[in-house]
Amino acid sequence: MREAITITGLGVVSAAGCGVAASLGTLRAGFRPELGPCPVAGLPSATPMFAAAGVEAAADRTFRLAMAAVREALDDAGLSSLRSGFRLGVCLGTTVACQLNDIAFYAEYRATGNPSLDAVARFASGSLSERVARDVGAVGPTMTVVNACSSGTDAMGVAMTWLRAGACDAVIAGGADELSAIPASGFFALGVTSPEPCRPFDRNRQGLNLGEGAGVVILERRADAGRRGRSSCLVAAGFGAASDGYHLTAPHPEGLGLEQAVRAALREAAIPPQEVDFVNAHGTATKENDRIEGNTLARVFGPGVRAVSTKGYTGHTLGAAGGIEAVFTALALREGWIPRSVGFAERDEAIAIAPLTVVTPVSRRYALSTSLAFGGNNAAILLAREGNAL
Amino acid sequence: MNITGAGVVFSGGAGVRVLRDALLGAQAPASTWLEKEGVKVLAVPSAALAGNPVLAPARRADRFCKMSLLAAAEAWQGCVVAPERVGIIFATAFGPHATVFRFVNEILDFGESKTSPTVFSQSVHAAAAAMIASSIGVHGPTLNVADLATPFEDALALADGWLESGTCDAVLVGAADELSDVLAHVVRRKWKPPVILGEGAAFFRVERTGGLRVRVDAEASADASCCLIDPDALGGDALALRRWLPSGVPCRSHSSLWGSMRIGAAFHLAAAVLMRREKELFAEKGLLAEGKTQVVSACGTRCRTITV
Repeated sequence: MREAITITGLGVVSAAGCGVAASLGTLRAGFRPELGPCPVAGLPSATPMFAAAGVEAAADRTFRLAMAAVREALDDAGLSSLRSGFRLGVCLGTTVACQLNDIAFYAEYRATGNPSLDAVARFASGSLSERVARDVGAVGPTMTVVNACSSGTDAMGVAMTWLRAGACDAVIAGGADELSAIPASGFFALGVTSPEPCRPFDRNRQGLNLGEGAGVVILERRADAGRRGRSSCLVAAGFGAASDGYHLTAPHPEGLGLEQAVRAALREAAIPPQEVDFVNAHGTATKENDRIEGNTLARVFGPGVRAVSTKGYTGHTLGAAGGIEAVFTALALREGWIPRSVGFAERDEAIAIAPLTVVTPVSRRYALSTSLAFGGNNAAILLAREGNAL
Repeated sequence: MNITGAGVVFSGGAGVRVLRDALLGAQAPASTWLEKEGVKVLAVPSAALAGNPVLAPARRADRFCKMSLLAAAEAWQGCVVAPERVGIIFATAFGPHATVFRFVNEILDFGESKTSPTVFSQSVHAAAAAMIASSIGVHGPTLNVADLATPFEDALALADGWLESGTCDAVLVGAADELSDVLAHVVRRKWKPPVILGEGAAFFRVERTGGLRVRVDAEASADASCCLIDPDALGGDALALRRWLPSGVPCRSHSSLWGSMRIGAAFHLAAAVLMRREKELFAEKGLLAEGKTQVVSACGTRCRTITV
């Protein structure tokens, strides 16, 4: 039996709210947050996007979003001030913050050949995880995962590997991303964005809406958390990842990589699929993702599997999605209820499952959060609630 | 963990045989000029990325992807591990940034709603590793890492973790970075004295047994016979490196063969592997002493050593 890894802290910011309490309020109410006008200039204004509230708009917005979630999670875990020698690792996923992709800088470079190097200085000051580590004084390993839309989930998998290898005492893990014109333009060009608010798993879904935010968990070996007087009912029980090895932008038509990742997570936790209460699905609301993911989940868990997509509350937050959705999954287990899948109205006969449409009590200990990514990456993290009967 | 395969693409060309010859002084890579910026660089020759059947699946891919696939495919040769048990960890400092700027060109020239989906898909960091996975047909976990301090070293340490935990039976772990006018511009203005920029990819197949034993640590050891270092690593931390190097251990750098890169440790590891494989030859040339070889990197308060 592998050593248990507990979740001792949660932090989140997205369009669903700034902080755990605000996010829970939105999820419990079961309504979409109000969407403002498209914040990315140049795209059709009708393209809805989910901007995160409560975090200052600035040139290094992804870092600020990450820090909002990191500070909340560290407070929750009792790690706001670190004792000397405490090896805190940082593993965060992102897509936007990993590139020297400042459009204004590049436009000035093209036009004058002598641009201001402010954007370069920001980039050169460190990757997302390196900057967060410096800001909070973390001296453990750092790594920035850039696995596109599964980055946040993959980052938690890295953190679990570090903890099991004894590389550190605790890890800040998750993901962060800001709305940016570059992915917005790219997803628009790929034809996968919806002109209306997204409708995950719905028969009439038209595509995804981009969002932004950050979701962070603090992971620790249970014994170490206990030694510093912390206990938690939440456990990271298993992780699995697999590559489709099939196509750059399309998922494997049979979801083989996703199935492999999900089964690996179940195997690591040593539980059968029947013990999983619900799945917080990737559920982007694109035609292909939802059909393939839904049918794969039905194959592993049966067509009656209870599933939700929280993209209707947050939009698709890319590198942050895995972190945000793991936090939402952990909150559902802790609070004992699963949020409804906002945006879903009509079942698609091509998909073997339908998401939950009402707030539903949790009845078993385990829940899975899945991520599918550009490039055929698939990742799944299995969370559990321990202690009191549900 | 053990290194059971290696592959490189660098300014001298493609393949570990080419790197071997360069290390032995038989063939020195020639620098070229990035004319727009007037900067001397060590670029991967176009001929190295043309006509190789390994690159057939990537014929429409960008330079970053081609360099990566070529190096990874060489490291993959001879692997008999089941495809679902093989993982990939791909490290970079700057990613496919030349393609990112191509995409930004499209935004600036045509507007956000009229960009190319093909260019966008190649600009994503995960594209090269996805191409490697699909080209060689592996289905284990694929992880992309982008950091400025020690991206390759940390990726290699994680590969060890994947092997030890049973996540994989083999991992293709490597690093790639590319040149561009923008990078050259930044280097010209920020780095004085100037460094000679390089580009390329270096990959390794690591398994639990066979091949050469390799270990990643957080500090240098005084019992090594030689330290391979990259004092000019782009944006690197020469002060930190001096602080972490063990006294009394001779240091050497071969980075003049591939140029200045944040992922230079991957190329030094390839050099160390080649030297260990042909001990007598490299010892005769005075490039290898008895004992362990350490590739040492440092950034701020962090040090990483790879011991072969």
